[in-house]
Amino acid sequence: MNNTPLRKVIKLLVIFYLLSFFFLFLFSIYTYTATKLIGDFMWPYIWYHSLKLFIRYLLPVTVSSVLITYSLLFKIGDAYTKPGIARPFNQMIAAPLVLFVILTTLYMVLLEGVQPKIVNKLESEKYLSSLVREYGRRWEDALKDKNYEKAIKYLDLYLAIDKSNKKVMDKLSDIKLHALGQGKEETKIVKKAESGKVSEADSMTKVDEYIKKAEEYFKNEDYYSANYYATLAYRIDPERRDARRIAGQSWEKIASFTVSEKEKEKSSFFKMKKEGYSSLMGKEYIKAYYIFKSLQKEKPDDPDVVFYLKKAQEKISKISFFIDEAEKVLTLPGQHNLFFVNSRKNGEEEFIFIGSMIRAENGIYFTDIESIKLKKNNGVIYHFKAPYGKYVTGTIVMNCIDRENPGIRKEAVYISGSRARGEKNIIRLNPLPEELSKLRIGYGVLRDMSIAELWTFRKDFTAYGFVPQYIEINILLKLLRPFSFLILSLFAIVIGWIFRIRYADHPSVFSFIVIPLFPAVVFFFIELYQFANRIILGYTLMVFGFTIALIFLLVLETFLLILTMVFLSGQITE
Amino acid sequence: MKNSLILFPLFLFIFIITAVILATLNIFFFWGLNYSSVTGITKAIVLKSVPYKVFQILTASVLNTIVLISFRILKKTPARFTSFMIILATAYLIFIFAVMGTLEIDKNMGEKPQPVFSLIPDKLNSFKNYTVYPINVDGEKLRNVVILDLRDENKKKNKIIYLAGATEKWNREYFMIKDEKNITRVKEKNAYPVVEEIFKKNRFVSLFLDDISFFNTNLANMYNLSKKMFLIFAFAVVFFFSACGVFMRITRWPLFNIFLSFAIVRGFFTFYRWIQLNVVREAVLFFNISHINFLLPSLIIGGIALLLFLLDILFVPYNYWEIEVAE
Repeated sequence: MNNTPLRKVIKLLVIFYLLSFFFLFLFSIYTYTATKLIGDFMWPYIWYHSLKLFIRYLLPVTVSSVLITYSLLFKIGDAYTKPGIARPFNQMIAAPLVLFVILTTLYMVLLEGVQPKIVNKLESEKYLSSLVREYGRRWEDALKDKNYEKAIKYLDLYLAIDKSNKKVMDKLSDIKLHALGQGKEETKIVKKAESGKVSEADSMTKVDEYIKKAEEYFKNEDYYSANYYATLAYRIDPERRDARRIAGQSWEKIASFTVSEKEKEKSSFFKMKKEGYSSLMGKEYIKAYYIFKSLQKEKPDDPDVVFYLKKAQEKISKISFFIDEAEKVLTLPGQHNLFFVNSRKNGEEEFIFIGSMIRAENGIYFTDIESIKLKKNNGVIYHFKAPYGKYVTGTIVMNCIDRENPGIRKEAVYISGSRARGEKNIIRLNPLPEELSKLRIGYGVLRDMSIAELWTFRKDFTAYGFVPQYIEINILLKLLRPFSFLILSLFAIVIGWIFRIRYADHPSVFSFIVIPLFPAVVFFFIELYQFANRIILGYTLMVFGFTIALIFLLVLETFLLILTMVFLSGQITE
Repeated sequence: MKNSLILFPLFLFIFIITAVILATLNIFFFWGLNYSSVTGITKAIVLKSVPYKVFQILTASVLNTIVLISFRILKKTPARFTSFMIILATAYLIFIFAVMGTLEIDKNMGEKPQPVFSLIPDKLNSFKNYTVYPINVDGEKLRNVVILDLRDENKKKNKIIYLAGATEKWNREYFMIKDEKNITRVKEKNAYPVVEEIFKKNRFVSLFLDDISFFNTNLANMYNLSKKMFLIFAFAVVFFFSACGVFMRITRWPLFNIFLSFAIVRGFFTFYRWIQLNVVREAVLFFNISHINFLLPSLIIGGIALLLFLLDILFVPYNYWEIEVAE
């Protein structure tokens, strides 16, 4: 049982897999130093990167292992059941054949299921690290300008990503203390001013003088001053009844005056409420929002204000969003540099560029949006850019407002042409949100997509202005991989067996020393093999189209598989 | 003797098979990359290119054939010197005649119009820094062009540019788009048509093909400038690879020997490039001999080949690899 071919194959495969993963792990540690990733991502990066490379090099590692198993691990005696009676070769390969079919399936799972996720993870870490560096720069700049509030804001954002950075945490505490000191200083100044007032009062030594002044002010109907001096006198000498009387009388006058002011206020509150209501009814939702927001500050419990503010918020969420929402989600990872043809109809073509697309809990946000619409032979219909955008039911809304201040607004700026007022800050999107992330410039994203994703996305890809052959060659190359895995693994049995070393007891030490060279040479051959396949498939695709290329791929790989099986069956053990 | 004589037709057979496979791939690569929907290339241009495309794969074919024929020698051992001479002579004759034949036919093909690259209309043509979407393409003239400029220096400006009319220019170094006022709006270094992505080479394959291409260019130059030098150099190369047969028997592990031999084929092209770019460049300054740049690599390669040959005869028994521990 110990010497069965399957055991030998599995043993060496496990050793090769473990060793290769170990070396790739070491290599990932080495590459980490050049990545500029933050400390928090060090171990996730090393594991994911090792796994990514492991999947990438799984084919050459497997083929090398099989080659070495069949060329080095079989003693002369293993090929014979009894002295002089050769073991049939099919006994040497039957079980490993099943193993390679299973391994091919696992390889597919790794390629289609695991690899895309790992790539996404690594991309996210890279993006977040770059964001942290940016925040780092910003808080340093803010510190130089002694703008502690700003520095604290960026430090908080920094620590939201790089959570365990002690150095930055200490820095934040320092700056907070500094800012507190600055605040205390300001408080001191205020207190000093107040104490100044008190000392001024203190300078008026005689209570009589206060009362005299109070009486004078009362006579002149300056009830605030009368109340002030009477109260001062009363505080110094609580026994003075005249001071108490003037203070009481003047307060009565102030109170009656205040009531009339309140009436005035009430009528202005009502007017504002009315205006807000009219704006809401007149579909000026943003105006309505700010009116009710300011009314809420005055009377937070007013049921009308609470009700209409909620309504206004509901309405504006469909046509705008808040700046702080957009700025907050910038800390999250996303896709960058999306560019596509959004629509093509009636001789008009609309292009959209999106600098970044970020998915957050409360929606999808965009930054650095630019769009141009052309009419064939008639030039630009409009061209605008907007700093932020949000995905709202099939559209990008670009009206970005401040939560409190109506004067702060970020919206689309028209470089040329224009659109109707209601459409100015909104653009209808044809791609679905899940498709958007794949419309990246440079086609690199296609490599990380699964076959199923590529297949479903194929038709729309052309409509968005991309060269269809790109997605098609990726489908073909991804379909090629499991075939290559199976064919080359089986072919490795043939080659290994033909060129096996002959020994009775154990192979020489030299053989084990040179084993690490095999994966490198095998890797080079596999790259050439895959490039040759790529040329043939690429040519067929360009000249005959996708369907023919797909059929050709299946025929070619079936032929190669049969050829390998023929070679396998042609082997003898003697 | 029979085992030695059969090597000649066998060599020819393996060479033809290898050459046909490699030439087909090379032509498909060229044709696919310059397919008519992307460039102005026609079947006539492809056909005119066939001789040179075959020439490009000749060296690799001959060298691989020498390695592959060594399998046969291992399996059915022929007479040592006769087989060596047969392989050397056959490889040499095939190599020089094939090179001469393909290069001469290529010359007689006359002027070959270079494929003219062009942008694909109504598609996003992506390059390193720019993406260009021309709605109409008429030769070099473009109408209604949308350009996305993603250069770092353009970060704060508008990223999308619209040109009502423009012209595209491709040359070996740059791809350029000029607007109607002849102002350059796009300048992309080493840009190729978008279909290049379909035939994209891996870094290792790319390095290997670059090395072979460098060797072929030098070989063609040598042939055109001095036939004598070409014959000497071709002999040195073939002799080197025939002598490399020793590596097929150097250990008792045949698989390792074969891998070593293929590694030498790969390494040879890098080694040749290194000689040309380092040793020869320096030597030209010191020696005033005509064609020193052709002669010196021949001498170095020939010298190494001679050493390997002597090593084989003196130290490696012919059936060394077959010695079994059991015996």
